[in-house]
Amino acid sequence: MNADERFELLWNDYLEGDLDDPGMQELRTLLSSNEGYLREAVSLYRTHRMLGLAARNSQQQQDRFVEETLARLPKDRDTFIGGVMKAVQGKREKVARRSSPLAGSRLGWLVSALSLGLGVFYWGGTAFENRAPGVATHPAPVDQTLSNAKFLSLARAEFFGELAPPTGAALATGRDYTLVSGLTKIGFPSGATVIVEGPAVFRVLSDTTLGLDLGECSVHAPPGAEGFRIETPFTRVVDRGTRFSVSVDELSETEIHVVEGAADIYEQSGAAESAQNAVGSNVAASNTGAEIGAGLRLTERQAKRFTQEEGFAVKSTAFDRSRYRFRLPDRVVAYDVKTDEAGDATHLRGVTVQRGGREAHYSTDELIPATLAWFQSNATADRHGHVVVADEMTSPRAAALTRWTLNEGIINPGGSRLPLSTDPVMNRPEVPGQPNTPGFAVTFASPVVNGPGPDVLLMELQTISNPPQGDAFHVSPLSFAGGRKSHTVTNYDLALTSPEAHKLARFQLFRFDVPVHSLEELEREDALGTPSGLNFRALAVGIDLSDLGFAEGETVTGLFFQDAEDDLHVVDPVILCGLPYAGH
Amino acid sequence: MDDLPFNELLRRVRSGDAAAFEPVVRRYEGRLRAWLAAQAPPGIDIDEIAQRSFVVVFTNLSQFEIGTDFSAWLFSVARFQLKTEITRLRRITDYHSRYAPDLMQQELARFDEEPSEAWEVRLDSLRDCLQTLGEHARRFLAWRYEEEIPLEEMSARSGRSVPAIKKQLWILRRKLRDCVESRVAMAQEGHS
Repeated sequence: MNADERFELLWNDYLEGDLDDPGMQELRTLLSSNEGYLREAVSLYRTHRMLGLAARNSQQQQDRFVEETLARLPKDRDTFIGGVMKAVQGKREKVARRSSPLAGSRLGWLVSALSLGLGVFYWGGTAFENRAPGVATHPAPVDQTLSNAKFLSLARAEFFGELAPPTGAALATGRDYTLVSGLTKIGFPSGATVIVEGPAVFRVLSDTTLGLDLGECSVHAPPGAEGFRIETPFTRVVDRGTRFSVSVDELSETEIHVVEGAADIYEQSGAAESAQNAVGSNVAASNTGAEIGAGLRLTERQAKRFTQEEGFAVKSTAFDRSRYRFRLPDRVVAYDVKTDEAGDATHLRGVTVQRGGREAHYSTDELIPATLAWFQSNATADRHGHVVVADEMTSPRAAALTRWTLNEGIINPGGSRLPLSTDPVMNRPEVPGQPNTPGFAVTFASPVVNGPGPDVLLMELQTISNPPQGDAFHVSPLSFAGGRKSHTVTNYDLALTSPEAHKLARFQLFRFDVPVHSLEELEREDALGTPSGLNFRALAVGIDLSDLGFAEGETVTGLFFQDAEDDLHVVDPVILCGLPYAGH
Repeated sequence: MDDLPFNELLRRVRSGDAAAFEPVVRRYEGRLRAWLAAQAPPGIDIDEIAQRSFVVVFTNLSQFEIGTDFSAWLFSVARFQLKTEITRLRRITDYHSRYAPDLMQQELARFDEEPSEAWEVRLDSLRDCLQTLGEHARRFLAWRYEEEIPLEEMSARSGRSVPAIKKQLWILRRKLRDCVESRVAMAQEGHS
């Protein structure tokens, strides 16, 4: 293949979203070495984008664009867009729901809101002009000034259109953050903390105020942090030293549940009287200024729902303590590594895991190694190979999974779409009529005790062309006696988009010409080594033995793993080990 | 309202008639989106930038001197919006390595000098060029750009391999690119 053909292949793959990291590197080299390629690439990219626009540029699509744009205009007290919207095609809420293939789900609404831009505005009249950041107030709309609020931690957090921020990163004042899934805990200088649960659209408005357009959050304001505020499209919630949850739904209706202490709720604009009338004697006078009017005080174990159907209204709702999230879920939080000269990860040094709400760090000396006890690939040879080693093949090959190396492992085991419900079959030789189970088994150097949160750590190598959330797998007990069950992992704690997922050093990938039916064949069969591409990262997930039906304190000597066969990608384990017991 | 002189529309918007902004958006949305499609690097939602630009113009209309070049103002706002978004993306770790060759972004920026209406003309030319293709080729492009189905699905529908599909798309893009360039050149010759 000559250079022109290679450029054609790479650029076409790029436009189709099929280009992997090594390909991107090669493409970059080609573009930098030949201006003709660069010009060709840009002109074809433009044609590609124009084709996309032409496909979307029907009259109907143009109407929708106009409609969406008008829906984003800031509300004016006297002449709001209501008239405009009627003149176009009906109410925005209906459009938002119709326009999404995910209609009906909260995520669907979120996607619609994003595309319509509804999620980024307050509907609070002139107050919007003064407070709301971003697009509507100034020709320099995106305020990138960093606030003093920080992302304290994240749990499987996926943000719309961007990678998750690293722990400790400051939030930009006024910038919209769209949390598609997962959770994040944000800390403010006063000591107030907010756990936001995706899907949610939120922003930091000041060092004492968080705006929440959609989604749920749980606020904790310790002594000294009183006065912290949550602003929703209809309400302003002022903390009076408390724990409370705020939920904003697809119609911007807001529900507030106070778990401890007290919180004052004000309407964003106007209709304060109606709120006062609605809540009767429960209303407390505002002490934060005349512009926000009278407020409603909610105390411990009280909840209210705030709507804007025919004007501002306060409705009763049952208090639900479970709406409040006290902490992020137990998970693998981070891991630390040894690196090579290029700064790429070669060895695991330790792992930080939240277990039972408490973070603990374990060095590899404290982890419980696992030995490969069974391996069977699928029925056909996997062209992606089964053994990954840093350099030359070593013996025994299976030890690649036992060492604390991150760029070594035993990959692409066999799998099954359905998880096991009976004991895995591991006969040597295979018994006629009893087919062995594809997958792999490990035994731990010492029993792993089921404690709170994750008990077992699995890490896999992954690159951009693989599922960013990690390759799904089933994990099963070696024996199903006693009501034990399989558990399927579909989302890793540290995914490809996690800043905590370290880039791996290069490795050699050994491919087999034949399917591998046993550990013996894994050790014996000829395998051809090829160097890896760049930009592999190590993902991590914690496995809670309780999910497999083990009781608290029960011990486990081994486990069975299978790829979940949910797609063309197969799990690639590089680390599998037990965690020390975290019980009391 | 569509029949009102453009400056009268702007005056009405400025005096509080938000409905008068609709024909303003309709008048410029095609040109603005075409320009953005030609300028924006991968990973940027051009409709989002276009909408932001209209909203900024709407909220700052009091600063605009009616009678001067509204188009120039709108496009300068859009240019700023685009730059801001590109800056935001650059700050994202690995954006270049994962999504966009940086050299291409530089090359895209070089074409910023072309008049904004040129890209609307190109979009119209592209539509004309699409009509010159055979039905088979147009169906291919409709799968790819209207239905946005995966290549594997296109392969299954057409009975051709994925590499063959890619090759076909490559050929069609080049053909359309050349067709558009040719039409634009002819139009320019006609004007000169």
